[in-house]
Amino acid sequence: MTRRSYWLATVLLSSFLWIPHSQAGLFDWLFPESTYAQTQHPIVMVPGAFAFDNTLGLIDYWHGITEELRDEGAEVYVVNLSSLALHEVRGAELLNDVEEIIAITGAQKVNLMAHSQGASASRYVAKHRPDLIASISCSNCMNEGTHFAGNFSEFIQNNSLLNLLTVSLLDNLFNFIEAGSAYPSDGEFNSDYRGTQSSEALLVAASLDDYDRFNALYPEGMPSVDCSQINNGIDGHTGGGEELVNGVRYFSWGGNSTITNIFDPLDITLIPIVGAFMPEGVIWDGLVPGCGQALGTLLRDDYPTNHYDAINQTAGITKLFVDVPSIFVTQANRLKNIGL
Amino acid sequence: MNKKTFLAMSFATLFFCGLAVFNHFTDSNLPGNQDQVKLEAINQFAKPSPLYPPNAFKEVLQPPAMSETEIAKAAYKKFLVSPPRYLQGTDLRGGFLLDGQGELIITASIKQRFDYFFLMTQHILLAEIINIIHGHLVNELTEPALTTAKSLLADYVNYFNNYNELMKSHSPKDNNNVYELAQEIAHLRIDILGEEVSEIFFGQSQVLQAHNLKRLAIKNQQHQYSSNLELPEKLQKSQQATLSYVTSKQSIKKSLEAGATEQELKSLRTELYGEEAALRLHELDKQREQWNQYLSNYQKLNKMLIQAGITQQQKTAQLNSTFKQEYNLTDTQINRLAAQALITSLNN
Repeated sequence: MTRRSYWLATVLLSSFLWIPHSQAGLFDWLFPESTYAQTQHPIVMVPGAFAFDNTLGLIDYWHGITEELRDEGAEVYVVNLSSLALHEVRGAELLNDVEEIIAITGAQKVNLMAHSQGASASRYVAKHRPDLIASISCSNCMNEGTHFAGNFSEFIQNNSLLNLLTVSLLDNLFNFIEAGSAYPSDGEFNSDYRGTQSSEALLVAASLDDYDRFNALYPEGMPSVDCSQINNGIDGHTGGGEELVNGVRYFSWGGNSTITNIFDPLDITLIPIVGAFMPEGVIWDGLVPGCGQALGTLLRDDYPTNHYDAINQTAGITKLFVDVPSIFVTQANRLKNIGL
Repeated sequence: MNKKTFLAMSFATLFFCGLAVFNHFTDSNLPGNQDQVKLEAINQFAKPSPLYPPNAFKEVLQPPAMSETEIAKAAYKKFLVSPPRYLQGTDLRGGFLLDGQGELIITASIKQRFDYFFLMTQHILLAEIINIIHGHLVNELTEPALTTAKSLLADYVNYFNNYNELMKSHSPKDNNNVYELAQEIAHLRIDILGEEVSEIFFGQSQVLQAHNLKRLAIKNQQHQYSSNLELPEKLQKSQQATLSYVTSKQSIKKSLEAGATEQELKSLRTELYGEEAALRLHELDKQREQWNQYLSNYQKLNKMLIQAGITQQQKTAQLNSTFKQEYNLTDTQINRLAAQALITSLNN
């Protein structure tokens, strides 16, 4: 060892012993790796519609959420489901993905975290393979449908030309968005990967009627009273459903805010259009009525978030004082604490 | 090791031990902070009640008098006894890291701790949330860390107050540009929290935001948003891991479309996931093959029974008994076959 080495060692070691009034990530190394969200089973994020490519992107759909979950020790995966399809179609796709993720990771089960229509796909999987699912955690989920879908379909079906034009326009719009995307590799709208999709199928699937059909087949975790039957689901609140069914735990939370950010392109474009087809006085989050957001233990249904804030869109610009990734990370901690 | 080296190392060891002892004794004069580094991680819970007054922000900017401290401690105690349902069963997130002098080291985990409490926004008064956090700080920290933490909280709340004002002062007509807004918010953070705290608290989220907005800008041909498209290595790795299932699945699909043999598929899976996982996937392939056979038989029988003109109830009973007795399937499995058959009929 040379004299210079001793000098260097002295300087280095001294710097570790003397920690001044401190600022910064320089000291991140002092923290052990966080295990706050380190669930026993991997977490699979289940998106609603529109989770393809750059529209929101498979990972950007959950803006900043998956990164924080991983920072806190969770093993997280996203999946690519058909964006515009029937519940059972998305459910069957998710089941395939879950089977494969379990085979790849060697895990026994997975925890599903769903948003919007990700709920019905998750419920399909939990019904048919409860042995593979530890829990479903639902954020602003669509469990009773939205008045928008039925009213909008009725509106365009009254005019066959309008119907044809609208459906074609919507399909083309999604294809256009896809074609204009900069990074076509991470989940495409009309790719071979997920087959041809149809906005007509989405409108059917999101209707109150189709949810009545689906809920009759998949009642697990649903509230015992169908809130859509109370005043047409405009302001019905029925609380949650059973938390533990067939070994699967169900949790949900939601919001009741509509336009929360005037700068958010999603807020100022989608919500007014959808709102035009919603009944007067409805309590909703900008897409989904409050009454349909409950599944299993209803943790909270009045976060000041709208449907898109709930996944931290657009790019993290949401209403104040609600750090959306914290909601998901805290839920992962809850799952960890109950051994999931 | 020669004698000179041994002597030099002994001297260095003694020197550092001396420094450590000196450090220990100078620290021990500080109240309650003998540990060089103390990471708080208290597993406790919270409590609810109604909405916040406009002057709630001002209150935190002034140091609370003794009685206010007691009120804050009581609010925190109440929170611990009866937390809101959405915080029940969860640990407090984040924590406080102290240096050798008992001063608070500024880390992102402080923001995480604040944000945990702020999840109660709009469920209880903001002033009450701030009170609870004060109570928590008083409970967990001593000087000088306590004063720093209170000051940080005041700045954090002040930031959000100003953010609110920023939003109110614009209308969609005069500014609907999300890129400009993101930059204004970033400046606001720096103005109120300072550059270092802003970077520590919001650094990662701002990088992600800039990255996503840049992508949107490229898509919309709005190139004025100038930020580096490349994510830092840590975030890239995090995203790659999260996307790993989807991306590897696409690779496998492409390979199969290109006519990969079973052996080539096995090799690719081994390369992507490791040997054990490849074996498990191979096993899954076999199970799926078997399952598809069941499904095919189910659909055939279903079709025959429909053609036979029997009632729905009779058809279901016949299908159930056949698949229970002949194929030894459970009710759950038969339900899944029925659901898959339904997908075909719904798609048609």
